[in-house]
Amino acid sequence: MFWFRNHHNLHQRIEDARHRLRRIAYSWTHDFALADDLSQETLLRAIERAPQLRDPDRFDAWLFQIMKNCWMDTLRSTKGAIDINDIEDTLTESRPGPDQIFATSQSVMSVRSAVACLPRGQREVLTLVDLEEFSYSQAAEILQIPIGTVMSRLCRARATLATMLIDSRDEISELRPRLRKVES
Amino acid sequence: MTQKPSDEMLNALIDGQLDSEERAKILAKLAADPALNKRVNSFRKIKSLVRHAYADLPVETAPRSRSGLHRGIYAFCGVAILSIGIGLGHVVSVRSHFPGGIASIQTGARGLVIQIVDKDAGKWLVALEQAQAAQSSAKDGLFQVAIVGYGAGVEMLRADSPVIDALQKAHSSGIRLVACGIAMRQNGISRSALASVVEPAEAGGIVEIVRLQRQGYGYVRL
Repeated sequence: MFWFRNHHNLHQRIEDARHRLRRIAYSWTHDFALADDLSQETLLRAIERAPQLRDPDRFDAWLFQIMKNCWMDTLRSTKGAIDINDIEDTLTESRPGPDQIFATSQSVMSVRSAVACLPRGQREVLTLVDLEEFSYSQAAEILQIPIGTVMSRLCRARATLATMLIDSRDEISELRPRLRKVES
Repeated sequence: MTQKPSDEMLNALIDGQLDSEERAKILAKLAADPALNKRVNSFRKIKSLVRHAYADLPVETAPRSRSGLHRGIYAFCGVAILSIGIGLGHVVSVRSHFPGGIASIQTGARGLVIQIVDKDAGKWLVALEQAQAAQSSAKDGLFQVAIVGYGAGVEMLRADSPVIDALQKAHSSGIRLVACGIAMRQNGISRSALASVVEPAEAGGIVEIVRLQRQGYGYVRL
């Protein structure tokens, strides 16, 4: 009976996390249909694997780790279109120029498009820390990377976004020299 | 350590990932270095832009409870109600219903300064507790809470204060405790009579409050 109640509660917690999962899924994919699929798949897997969660305090990290794994599976199945290994400093070709972004600086869409242009590894860390308020160690656990990598990716992500989004020339000129050259 | 903190450390500060000792060190450096301050503020702004950008997604189900985002309503001594909502986008709103208190501050507040003029242990205990709640709910390592005691309030900042344990506890969670230098002189309290966790403000409590307000602190009078 006790076992049953615990699992019933866990299922409820998983269901309650639906919107949070979907938000992170959207911030990773920037595609609503894909985000819906990804969060739905995560919910199903989580319910399936609920008996494997030993420590209820680790619930959030456990759940988002499942989503990270679903995401990796999705990337693998979309045959070679996206590199599975992180190519930290390679930006996508569709990256808007700073001038384009400046035009709509700081609007929701410009922030989202700037985030979408970050290398995937940086984007994952940034969104887990900023949107879900995960600690660095939780983010490291979810993404299965060292905590030092969490810090350096976050740092590069925010520095890049600052150059793209902050509408103040002097702040940018301070930040720019610290960025590595990324354009080919 | 004289070198500048790394960007990693500045980000860790913003994300509330530093322990109180590291945090205090970096805050001290920030205070002395406007360029560093600017850099940390630009990272902080990015964090708030990102949070804001994903705050409202079209949802198919009921939106997430705001409990994680809108943190707490705090009652101060039954006279003042201070509500601090740390929303997405870093908007901090402080409402005080204290008679004569501030009506509303809505800014990207950098911190909160609480002024206490009374020698009332009960009031101090509640204020100290709520200051810690505000500090820990801010989720932003840069957000700082300061309590400034002046008038008869400085009596409660003495080393033999009846609330000394609570003062020490607040200090260890990063709350600044400031004694008005003018009130100290008026009440005959020497610097050495203050609790070790309290800093005297030589120019006076009001000057300190104004200085913090200029830095973007919200202000609440108790």
